[in-house]
Amino acid sequence: MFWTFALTALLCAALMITSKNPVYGALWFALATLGTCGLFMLQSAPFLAAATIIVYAGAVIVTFLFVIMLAQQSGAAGYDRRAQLVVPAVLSSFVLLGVVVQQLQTNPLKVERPGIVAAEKQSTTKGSATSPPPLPSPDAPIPPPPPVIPAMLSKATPETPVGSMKGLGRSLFGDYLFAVELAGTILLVASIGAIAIAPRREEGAL
Amino acid sequence: MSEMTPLNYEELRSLMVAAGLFVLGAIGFLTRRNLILLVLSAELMLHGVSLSLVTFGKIHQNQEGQAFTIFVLTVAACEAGLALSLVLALYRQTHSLDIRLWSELREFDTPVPVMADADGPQSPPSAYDGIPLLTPAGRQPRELPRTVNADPKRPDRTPV
Repeated sequence: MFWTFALTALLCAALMITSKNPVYGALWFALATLGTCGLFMLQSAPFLAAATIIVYAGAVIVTFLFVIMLAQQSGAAGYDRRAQLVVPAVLSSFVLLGVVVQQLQTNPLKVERPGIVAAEKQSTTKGSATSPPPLPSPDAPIPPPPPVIPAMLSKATPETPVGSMKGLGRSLFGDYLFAVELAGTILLVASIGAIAIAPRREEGAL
Repeated sequence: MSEMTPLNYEELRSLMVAAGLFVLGAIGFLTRRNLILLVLSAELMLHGVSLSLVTFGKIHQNQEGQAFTIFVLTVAACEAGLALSLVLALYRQTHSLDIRLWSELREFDTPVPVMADADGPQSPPSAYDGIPLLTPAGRQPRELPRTVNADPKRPDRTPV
């Protein structure tokens, strides 16, 4: 399953960057997006997969195809048939890929696994019989209240596992509420800018 | 105490596929000459980054990877919209999508810059040296009629 999606994504990406016709390139990109969305699904991100399909296949690709068909001359243009800087680009990119893969395979990355640790902790605390804490003597000084630490809403809990809509919503609108507002502002500014940049009708046809 | 464990096979292969997507996008970005395919290759690189983020989020068992990916998605949508309107504006000027036509950003009527030590005719110094040429915008100002000594109060003014 994983390799099906992975090979779809990689193969379609390779076909996209080698296709002579930009329309086919855009369609291959749509297929590569679908493969990536399958990988998202396998990484327990179903909402993200759906959102990516909607945004890319539904909006981005359609816009790209519109622009390609507006600006496309008949047949493949010369600049689509001949690439530039092929050898240095491929060499440097594959050196980058080789370094990343080699680093991943020698595997120096060690991560903390909060889920596993929490489960182990629970099992250990459940196993040991806990005695109730001793009551403080009435004439002892009142301890200061513990500092209030804001709970991290992004942490996965048993009720909100990774990728669940509830957990993702709590993370987005809890920890990252300000960033969500900023993202909305960026979208607004970008759409205004796109309208301002795009050629107007009275400036003549393309 | 929390224990540090190495990545397992599923996480590793996902990260490697993400790296492969990124590298393919980079190759496309560097080698293609079509403006639209350049933007598409950048989106492919963003796919690789998104896949990495989602995998990291799963490794660390929190939602932040997916939350970041949603922001990446937002920025990618903005970028696509802006890039396409830019492509249309550039296409209006050259009627071609070739990136090579835009490899020089100088104005069409500025002289080719000459290196200081290069032999060749140096352009004579001008009062306009160092002033950037801007793209003409707006309405051209109407030239006022120049009458000979129109102002009787200031007879010293000479007509240009």
